[in-house]
Amino acid sequence: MLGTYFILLILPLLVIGSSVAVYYLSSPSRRKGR
Amino acid sequence: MNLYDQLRDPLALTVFMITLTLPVLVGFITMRKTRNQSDFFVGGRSMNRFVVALSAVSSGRSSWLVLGVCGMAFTRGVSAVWAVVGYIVVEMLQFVYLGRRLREETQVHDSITLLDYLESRYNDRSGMLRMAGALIITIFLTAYVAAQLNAGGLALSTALNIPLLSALVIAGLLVLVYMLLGGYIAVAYNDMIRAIILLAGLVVFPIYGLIQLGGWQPFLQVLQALNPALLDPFSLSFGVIAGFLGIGLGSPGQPHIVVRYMSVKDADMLRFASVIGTFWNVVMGWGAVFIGLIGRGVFGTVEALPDQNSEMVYLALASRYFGPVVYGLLIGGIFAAILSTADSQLLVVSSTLVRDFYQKIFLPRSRKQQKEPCEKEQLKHCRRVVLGAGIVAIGLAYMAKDLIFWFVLFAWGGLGASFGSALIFSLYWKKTTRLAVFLGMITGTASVILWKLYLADATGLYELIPAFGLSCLVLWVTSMLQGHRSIRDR
Repeated sequence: MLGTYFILLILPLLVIGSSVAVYYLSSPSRRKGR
Repeated sequence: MNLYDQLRDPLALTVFMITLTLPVLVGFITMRKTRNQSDFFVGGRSMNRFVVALSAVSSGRSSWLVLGVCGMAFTRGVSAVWAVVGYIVVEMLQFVYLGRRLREETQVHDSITLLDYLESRYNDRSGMLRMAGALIITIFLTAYVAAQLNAGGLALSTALNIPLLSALVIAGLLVLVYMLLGGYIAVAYNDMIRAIILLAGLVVFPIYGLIQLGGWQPFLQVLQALNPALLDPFSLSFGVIAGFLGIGLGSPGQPHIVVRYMSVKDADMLRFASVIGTFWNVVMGWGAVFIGLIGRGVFGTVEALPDQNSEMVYLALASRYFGPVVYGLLIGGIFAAILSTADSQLLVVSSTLVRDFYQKIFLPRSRKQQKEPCEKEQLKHCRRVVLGAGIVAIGLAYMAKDLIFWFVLFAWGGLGASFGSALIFSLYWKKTTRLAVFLGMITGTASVILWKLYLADATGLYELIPAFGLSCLVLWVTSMLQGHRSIRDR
């Protein structure tokens, strides 16, 4: 049942969270800083 | 049992017709913004991030999401999620990395089409990249458009109880009118509106369905009682899960998706567009899975669905649960999914015919006319070609159904394996050569077709995965062998 909860409820939140993380990680200031 | 019977209710029919005809109004509004060929095919590279985000996710999802994924969840249970995870993650990264770089490069090279970019990037005077790419796009995407129109026409024919040909003409006109008026800008704004309609359907549905089943726990208990495997995310074999995730490999090679990135006003806007697009993709993807699962809980077995077809679960639930207004909106959602893909693909086919075949291959070789036509003349050409391509697609949808569906079997994989790998290499590896891109495109297309025909059943592996790998391998090996010919870094 844990797998069901993960795939139906946690995974979508993780994917949306990842897009926010990618947004910050790809900011122009970070690119220039590297 | 006709699942569209409820459309005889005037209120449901009115809401449904509004969702169908609203795009035509958008065509009139955006007509004035379309002044030249660049506006017509890439929105003059001035689209805002919301429009680009929603247009990219909406044109990438066809009726496969509303009918196919719902049906898959009905049959296979929660493991259907793997079919949406792959493309969502790939498109999230695609907005930010591939999209941003492509937007910058196409501005530098003043490219309107993907093939404009590849030709300019490799200074290809032979025209071999453009010719090969244009043939692949024209064949696969025309078949794709015709298949979408066929699906839309069939559904409209059943819904309104009219002959198939009339339904096809109506579906075609609903797309062509605003495309002729506003070109890309109208298509992009309409895709955005349709993404909202689609989202409304895919959010309202699961929430209402869960309430009807008594909430979260009873919903899980019903599925558990029917078949415990429905709740097991790993009930499928490794090969099937890999194949589902591999669907995402097709996204970078779909010209109708990547052209969205080329149209954004500022490359950095794609970072925020990625968040919006991912949110929309997640809600739509998981919404479709929940609808399939709720449908399984409600109907129990596939025999309870019309034609014993699991893909009917969306329609069957809509007709069972909702009153005329929501029902009209939900049925409009199916057409939104179908037409938002068809219009984007038709526009890419037209840009390939006008820009790649006519202006860049035919005109320079024609003795009669050496000059490119003026802007007004170009715009007229674009509109004529859109009309012509639309009529051909309607004709194919009516007369050559078997042929178009045969091509469509290879379309997503064929485009993904030929353009996806070529585009990634050309944007990220400076040593990539012109011949490598050419051979990579040909290898990708050929291996998708051959694997699908001869090895897919025996291996159980989705053809796009090996074809994408082979295409990358050919790109790498050819470029390494031709190392001394690599282009200079600008």
